[in-house]
Amino acid sequence: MELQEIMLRLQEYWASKGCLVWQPYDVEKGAGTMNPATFLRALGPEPWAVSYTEPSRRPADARYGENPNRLYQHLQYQVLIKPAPKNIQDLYISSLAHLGLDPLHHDIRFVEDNWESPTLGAWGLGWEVWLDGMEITQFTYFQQVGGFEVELVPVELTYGLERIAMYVQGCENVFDLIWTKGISYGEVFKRAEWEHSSYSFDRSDRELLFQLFELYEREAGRMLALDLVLPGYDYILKCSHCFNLLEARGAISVTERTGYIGRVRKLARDCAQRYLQQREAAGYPLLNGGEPSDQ
Amino acid sequence: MTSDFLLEIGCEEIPSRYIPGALQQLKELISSLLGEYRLQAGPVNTWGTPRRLVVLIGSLESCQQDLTVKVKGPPYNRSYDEQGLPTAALQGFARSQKVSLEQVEVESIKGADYIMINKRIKGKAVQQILPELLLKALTGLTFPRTMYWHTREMRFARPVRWLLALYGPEVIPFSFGGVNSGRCTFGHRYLAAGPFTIDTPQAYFRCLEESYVILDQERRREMIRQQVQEAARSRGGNVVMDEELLEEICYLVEYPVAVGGSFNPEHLLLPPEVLVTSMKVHQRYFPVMDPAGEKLLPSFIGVSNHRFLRNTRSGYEKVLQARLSDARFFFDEDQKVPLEAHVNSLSSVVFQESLGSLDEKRGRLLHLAGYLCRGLGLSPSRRQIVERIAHLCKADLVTLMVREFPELQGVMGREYARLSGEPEAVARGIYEHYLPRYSGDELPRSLEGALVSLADRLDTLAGCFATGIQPTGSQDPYGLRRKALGMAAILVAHKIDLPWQTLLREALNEPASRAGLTGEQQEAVLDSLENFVKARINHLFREKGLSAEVIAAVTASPVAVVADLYGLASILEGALGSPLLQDLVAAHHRVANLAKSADGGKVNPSRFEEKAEHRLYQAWQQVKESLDKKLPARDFEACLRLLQGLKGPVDYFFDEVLVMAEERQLRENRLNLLAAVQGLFLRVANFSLLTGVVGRNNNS
Repeated sequence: MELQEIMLRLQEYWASKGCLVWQPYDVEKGAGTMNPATFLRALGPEPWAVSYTEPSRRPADARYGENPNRLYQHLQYQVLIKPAPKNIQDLYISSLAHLGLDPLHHDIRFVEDNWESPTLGAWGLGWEVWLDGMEITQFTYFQQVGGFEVELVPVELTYGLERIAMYVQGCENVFDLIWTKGISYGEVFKRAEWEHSSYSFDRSDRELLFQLFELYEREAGRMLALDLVLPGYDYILKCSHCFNLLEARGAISVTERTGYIGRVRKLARDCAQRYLQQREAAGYPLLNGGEPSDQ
Repeated sequence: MTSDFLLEIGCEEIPSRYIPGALQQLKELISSLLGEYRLQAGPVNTWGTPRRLVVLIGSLESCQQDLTVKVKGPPYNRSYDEQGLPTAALQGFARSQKVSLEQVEVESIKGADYIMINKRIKGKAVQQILPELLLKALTGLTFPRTMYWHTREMRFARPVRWLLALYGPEVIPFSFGGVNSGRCTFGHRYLAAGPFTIDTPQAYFRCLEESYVILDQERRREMIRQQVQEAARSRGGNVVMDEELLEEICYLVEYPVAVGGSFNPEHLLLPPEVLVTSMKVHQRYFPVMDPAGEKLLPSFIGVSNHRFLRNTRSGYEKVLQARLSDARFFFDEDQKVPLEAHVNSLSSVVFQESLGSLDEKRGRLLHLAGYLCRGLGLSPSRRQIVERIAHLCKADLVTLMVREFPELQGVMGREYARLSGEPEAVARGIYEHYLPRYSGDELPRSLEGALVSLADRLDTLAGCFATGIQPTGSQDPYGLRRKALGMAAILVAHKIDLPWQTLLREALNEPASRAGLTGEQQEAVLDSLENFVKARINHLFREKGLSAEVIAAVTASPVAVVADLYGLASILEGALGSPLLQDLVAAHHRVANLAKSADGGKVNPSRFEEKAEHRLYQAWQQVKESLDKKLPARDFEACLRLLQGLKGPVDYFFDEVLVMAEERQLRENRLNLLAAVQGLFLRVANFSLLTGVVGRNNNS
């Protein structure tokens, strides 16, 4: 099965289960969780179900396109459903069957793994899902987001698309994956992997990145103070990416690290709080059949 | 009338490590609740898998036991009027308690008489009690971490998805976390999912058996053990059973099936610890050894939760293969430069905020290691090895392999040192300097490794104490207790002939000046550090089977070498119940009582009046001279026998001499003689602390 068919099938499956089909968010981020469709929508008492593919950038994991398993950017398929359905494990297992992974013929296991994002002030309990010994999905019940205890408990499923595709295609090297007929993963991303690795490890300008961090932080704060939650959030994401680049460059010591994380978390918390206030002021439209308020 | 009661808490996969504790708690909670609710029952059993916690209460009585309670009524003098007729107060009380006036009794409480009735409360039917009892049990269970999924008040390890509660054939209705109890259960998630309707507790066990769920953990564990060994044998090898891994896997599966697989033999070039860590820690596979148990085979045994193995074996192999390829990549990269070159990167890694970088730590280790070598008078060639170990021992922390597999610190240092052509003693010492890692772990075998381990521990302890980090209660984030205990164990095992307090003092110098402590503050820190380490020494001696009294007696002596303290304490422990020790304690006791009153002056033999005084003084002189030789030679047995020799002269002295003579100078001289004699005893141990145990016979 081609990589793109896996994406299409997951989208089709989760759409059929009532998930809104969202799109990747156009600001650099380290995980699908940071898409506002997850981070912000996970908050508050309104129901929400969404799924989308998300390219996630992790500069420290970059390997110049030389490692068969590690990438600067990988693709996640993200599902968020609030409140978590009682049969969510079964729904998840059926989604694998939809990819041709019949649970009767594979060892599918839920192994304890708790998720935490210190920069987002978010954590949850759940598992990593093992398919014949390989971790293919992070399965998490959120308990806190942006420093706030969740009102309705959302479940987040994060599929590692490359891993699943490699398994399905019996492929040993991620760059050999067939994306679609005649085009490999390597063709699409190998050069990008090398360039971003080169940038992250060798070419990025530390001083500039430190300055950008400060500028983004200031702008995020300014926007949030104006109650412009979404532009504010965009700058928080940029701060977070800057921090990741600085870390990959080895520019941040262990001691400083905690300080930078704390600064991003503070903004994320402020953003979450303002978002919650906005939704409350709007009368929680999704509690009333989803009619938008005219504001 | 009795019936069995069965509770099944159906869950999404509970973390493996939580389950044994939960089963133990459930058993205790249910048993104590049964008592609290006056329900009689047979044995309570609990079983568990990742998806279910199960309690069976055997032969549970259908009815709560009756209860008799006393109910206090109005005071007697206000219960009857002058005619002896019941007052309104008494009548009202009787009415409210639904008893006739004939049933009331009189009882005196604190000198006043009151109306009293013995009220019998009829036990309720078990069906009425159980819902409340079960809810208490479920809410009373604790887990290392809990979550909510329904309402914030209901917390559990993972979401509860079904509840089965049957008293005989009857459902006991209650609800928890948004789930109502019923008679439904589920089988193995994939092989026989269910739901299944259950008529009676007995039928439940049959149903699970048919639905690919091995409920009994003991049986599951033995199945795994046996299957793993069989699979290993069929691959021409053998598994050294790791009970911890076995236990973890036991609670990861409901229907265990062992799956053998292999990996590229080229990966056997990796250090065995890397292979074992990849297999055990990351994949929960058992590594397979050759039949002689000497080296690893390119095979592993995994345990699946499934009986169809078509894809599982190749899946297991692929994942391990990828991990080992990664490890090979790190191994090759790390070796592109010698271990020595990694030392240069230590300055960019923080050891601990207030204690600087790993490179600064390396500098302190070099200093302390050198100090230890000089103190012990090591030859220049051995000293060179110790210093080389101290220089290199942290270098592996910046290698790719250790950054990826932190648990391999020390192991990789040893391997990379060998590959870089370092002497074997250096390579081994690098590994040994982390030992012991936990209580009961192996100790460094070479003195060189032991000395660097000591230096490392001394530095961390002193550094933390200097910057105000001290363990409190259960809080010990830097594992300082473990570090100090390991230090004591090494001091004993390697008979390190240096006073432990001096070592602490030396280690504290650098961190104290770094932290800007005044001399006075430094002394205060040293004091609390000494107390802390002393408590660990105590703890170690207790672990080694010495009694608290013996430990207290020897640690009160001026002996300051931990190995000597241990040697001495062991001799005393062995002498408990012997005439030798009885003599020593008795003689010391007689002397000590009066010695307290001495003014500490010198004994003047010209003031002696009695023969007994002269004799005791001579004995004192002889014993003192001999102790001066035997104590430094650590011949503690001889020391004890020497002290025993004082018993005769002491007894003779007390028989013949009136110590508390009228004349002051005479009296004080006698008291000072006794103090001098006691001083000899105290050089070895405080024998008065042994009074309570001297009669204890170790052989009984």
